[in-house]
Amino acid sequence: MILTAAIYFFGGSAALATLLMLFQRNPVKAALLMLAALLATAGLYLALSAQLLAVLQVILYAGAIMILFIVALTVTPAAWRDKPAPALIRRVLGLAAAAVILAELLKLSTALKAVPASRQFSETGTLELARLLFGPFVFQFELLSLVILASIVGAVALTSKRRNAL
Amino acid sequence: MTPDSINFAAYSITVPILLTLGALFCLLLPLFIRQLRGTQGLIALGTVFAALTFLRRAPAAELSFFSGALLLSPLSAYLWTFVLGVLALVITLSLVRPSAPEESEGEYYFLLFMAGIGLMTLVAAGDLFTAFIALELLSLPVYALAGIRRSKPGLEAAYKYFMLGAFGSGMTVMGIAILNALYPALTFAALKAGTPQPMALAGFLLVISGFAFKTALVPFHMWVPDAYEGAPTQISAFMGAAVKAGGVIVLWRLFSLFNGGPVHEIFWWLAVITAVSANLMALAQSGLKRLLAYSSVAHAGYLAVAFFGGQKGFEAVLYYLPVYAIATIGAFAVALVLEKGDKGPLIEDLAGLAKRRPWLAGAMSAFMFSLAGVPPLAGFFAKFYAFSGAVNSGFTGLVVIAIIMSAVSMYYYLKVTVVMYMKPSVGDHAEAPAGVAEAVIFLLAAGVILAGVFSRPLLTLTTEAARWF
Repeated sequence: MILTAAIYFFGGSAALATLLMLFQRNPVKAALLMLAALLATAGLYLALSAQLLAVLQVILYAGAIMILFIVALTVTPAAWRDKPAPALIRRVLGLAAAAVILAELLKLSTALKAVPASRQFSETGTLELARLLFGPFVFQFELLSLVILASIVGAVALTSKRRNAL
Repeated sequence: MTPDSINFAAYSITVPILLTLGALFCLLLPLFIRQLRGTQGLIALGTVFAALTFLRRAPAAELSFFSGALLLSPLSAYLWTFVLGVLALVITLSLVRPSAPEESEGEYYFLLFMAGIGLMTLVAAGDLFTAFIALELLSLPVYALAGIRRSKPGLEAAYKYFMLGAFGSGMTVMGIAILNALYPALTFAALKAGTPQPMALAGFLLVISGFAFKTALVPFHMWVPDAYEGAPTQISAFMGAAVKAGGVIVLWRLFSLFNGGPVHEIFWWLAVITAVSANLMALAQSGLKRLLAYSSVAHAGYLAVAFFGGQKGFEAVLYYLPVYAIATIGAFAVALVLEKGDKGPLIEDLAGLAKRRPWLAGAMSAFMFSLAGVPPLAGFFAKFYAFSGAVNSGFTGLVVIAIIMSAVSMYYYLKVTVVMYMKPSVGDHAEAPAGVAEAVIFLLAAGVILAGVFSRPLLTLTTEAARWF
């Protein structure tokens, strides 16, 4: 019961936030609404007991990608200017594309209803993932930490101002 | 595992760990200890020499570590020695002519070491996952190093290299994803044993084009001229000598998974297009670094020709890599000695060099003749072995094209020598006294001659290493 309520709550808020984002003209407000939609989706995953997916959604989308969006928006003043409304033909085309995707999604969800949820599906595999990462793939995993460190140092070296007095 | 191989493995694994520690020292120590500021280059050079002492003669076996991710064998020992040698040369050249602004010296050596570790892992990688991550560890620091001066051409070089490199990496990862869906274990051995399927071919082609980007085979070479020209000269030398070597080894592993078929046909075309177009484009260059960039693309084509020689061809590749590295680092070192400010010298700037600095001109001619493949210099034997293997396997047409293009390349290599010896020098040149950079150049020139005249020891090593790929 409470799970069903949570699913409807998060699903509803994701849909609402997305709709509000679409009709929002201020880019930063739109970005924040998108963030809300992403977080609501993460909640939806959690309600469906896909914990790993929920955490990844928060870390990757809400954490990394949204921050990138917002930083990019704040450093590009051109994005703030109000754009003129697009021509009629583009609006119609956009609406048609949206309608096609909606129809496909509805078709898919009715097809999915017929598939019984398997027991295996509810286990998200966080443990297995960790076992793999720190077992057979430990070398690659540690190598990745060097990759990340090197990219951070490279980015800092390329972008930092000259520091004459350190 | 015998005690011998355990010993060898322990020593080998120490090398990348030592390099990581040295890299962190270069980056962090000068931040805390004021007196160490400016000595990062010395720390780096010391680390490389310390790492060289950990290299041991490998027992005749292939040792697999981390569930097959890392393969240690005579091949890895040979290539790791090569990588450390290139690192030592590049660091020495950076010590005498600083290529990074003073405040980012620590970052410069750190990134150089990271690229070195990435290259070492790349050549010893046992599966495609590891190879991809190692490729990123090799490429990302080099992108940053290309623009470390933050000058306009440097940043442009870094930007172009990064954009095209990221595109290449994207293709590689896409190919690996396809291959992983078909063959759950991505080790090269498993890939070889796997049944061929059309989807796998698509995956292999994507992976191959990704690595062809790094090796700079035409048509994946667009980044090369700008990146070589805009990057600090030491880094251009590193790109030419080391980054290419990593790509070549992985391409060879991918090439040897197949026995003829469409993949070999594609390599045939890559080799032909690269050898022809790179040599033709090099004819029109007026900048020395640009000329060397196109020459590096052309040599990637000759290396691809060597692939067709089978086992003998791989021995030739292993001989070719250090020989090419010596000549190209030497030529870049001459460019470094002659450059003023951030701009690399034009070929015209070499005019009258034979009068002003006869030894330098002599060394430069040795590098040029070796790159062109004139006997008895090492470059001739490298090309000879590379082409003879392919001829013995019946790819005469391919070799004929490569030899014709090699003859074309004589024109632009000779042009440099002609300008040095026949043209009077223009304007006045303030001569800097000869220093360590010149010493390195003469050492490399001696190497080009000795590796050709006395090629036997090097060839014995390559024969031994080539058995364990």
